[in-house]
Amino acid sequence: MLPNLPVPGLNLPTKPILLLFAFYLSIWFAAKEADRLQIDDNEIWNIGFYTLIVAFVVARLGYVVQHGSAYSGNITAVFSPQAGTFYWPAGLVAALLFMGSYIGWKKLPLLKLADALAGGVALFLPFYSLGNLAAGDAYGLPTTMPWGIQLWGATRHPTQIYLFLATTLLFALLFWRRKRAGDGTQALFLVVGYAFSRLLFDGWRAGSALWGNGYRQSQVVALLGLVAALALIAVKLSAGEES
Amino acid sequence: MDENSPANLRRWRQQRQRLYVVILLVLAGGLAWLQVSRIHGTGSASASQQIAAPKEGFLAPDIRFTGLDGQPHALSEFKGHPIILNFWATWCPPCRAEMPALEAVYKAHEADGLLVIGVNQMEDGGKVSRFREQFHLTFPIFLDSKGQAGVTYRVRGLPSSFFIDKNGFIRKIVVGGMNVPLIQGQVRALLGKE
Repeated sequence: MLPNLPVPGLNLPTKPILLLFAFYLSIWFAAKEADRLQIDDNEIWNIGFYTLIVAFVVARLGYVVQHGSAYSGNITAVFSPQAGTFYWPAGLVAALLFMGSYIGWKKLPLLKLADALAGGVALFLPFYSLGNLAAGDAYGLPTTMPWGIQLWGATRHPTQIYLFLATTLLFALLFWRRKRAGDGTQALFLVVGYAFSRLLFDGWRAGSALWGNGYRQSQVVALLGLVAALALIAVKLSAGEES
Repeated sequence: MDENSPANLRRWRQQRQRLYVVILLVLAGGLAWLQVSRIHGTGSASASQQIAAPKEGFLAPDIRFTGLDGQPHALSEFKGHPIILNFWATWCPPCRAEMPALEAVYKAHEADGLLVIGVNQMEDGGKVSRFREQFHLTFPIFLDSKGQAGVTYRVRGLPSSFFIDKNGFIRKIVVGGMNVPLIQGQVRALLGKE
């Protein structure tokens, strides 16, 4: 675990800094891919940064609406850089809606764009796992396996390392077949690979949000995503066959 | 070879059929894995978190500290209350800045059983008492003279606040200064008002 960067005199949290770096790197890579697929790479930078701004603004407004009474007589707090006062589900929905509207408005080629962005997302994911490892987040269940790591009072499955290895492999596979990108299959393979990894490795994860009789929400969503992506690949094959 | 040649069409059809089999296998295997790997004994935390660790979802570790009157105390004395455990120091500007917000939320929810516990990091009792009077603080403040409580909670920066529910589980950790909306939001969750 390395929750803070070892910079004397400064309290620099590793995970947010790593994620910020990974976000920039991912947008850069997606822009390169877009260029290769003959999409204006500026559009990728625009999508990345405007979406981020929309997500932050709406997440803050969502929190303000949720806790309106705490802001009465203290309206300047709406603009405070306080990190904990965001309602992220609202931010995520707004970001997706904005992204969809932007793509429609600019009449961008959806499948090519999805494949370009898939490369960027695939590059981001291993950094996300490393960030979790540094912060001690997304930790595993206790284990007696020799590769267990000492964390939060027990020897645990290194679930962050499992996912780091799986997502690194996924990025390598997508990178290897990137010359065949442009018809949406890169994005579908990304969903298949990531959903499969989460379905499998979250089975050894502790501290997950649960549904029903102890089922992890992340695994249920991953299974649905995996089946949906495979079904879409089948539909594409059928479409190819008919044409 | 022509894309619409019978051989190509046959290959496509075979691929599609294989994919349907894969989908069925994935669905069956996935459902089986969901069942096998599910967490047994749902509730506020899984069995793996019923141990003390300074992390969200775990039991709050017990710590010992000294009152401003010199009497020894322990965090476990306050079990049963929702608690904001705040590590701070008088020399730390964000700690000073958030004190009025902590006091305001404490006053607003004292009747609901909320406790704010300030744990001063390695400062002199007299200095802390003067600070308390200067800021008109009414919530309990304790001294962590040797910094042992801070070490137990792996405090990486001041202020650090741990929101602990009435069952003793850490629900949220905030590193850095807090304003009223942030504290209020977390306290409402602790009190089950959301």
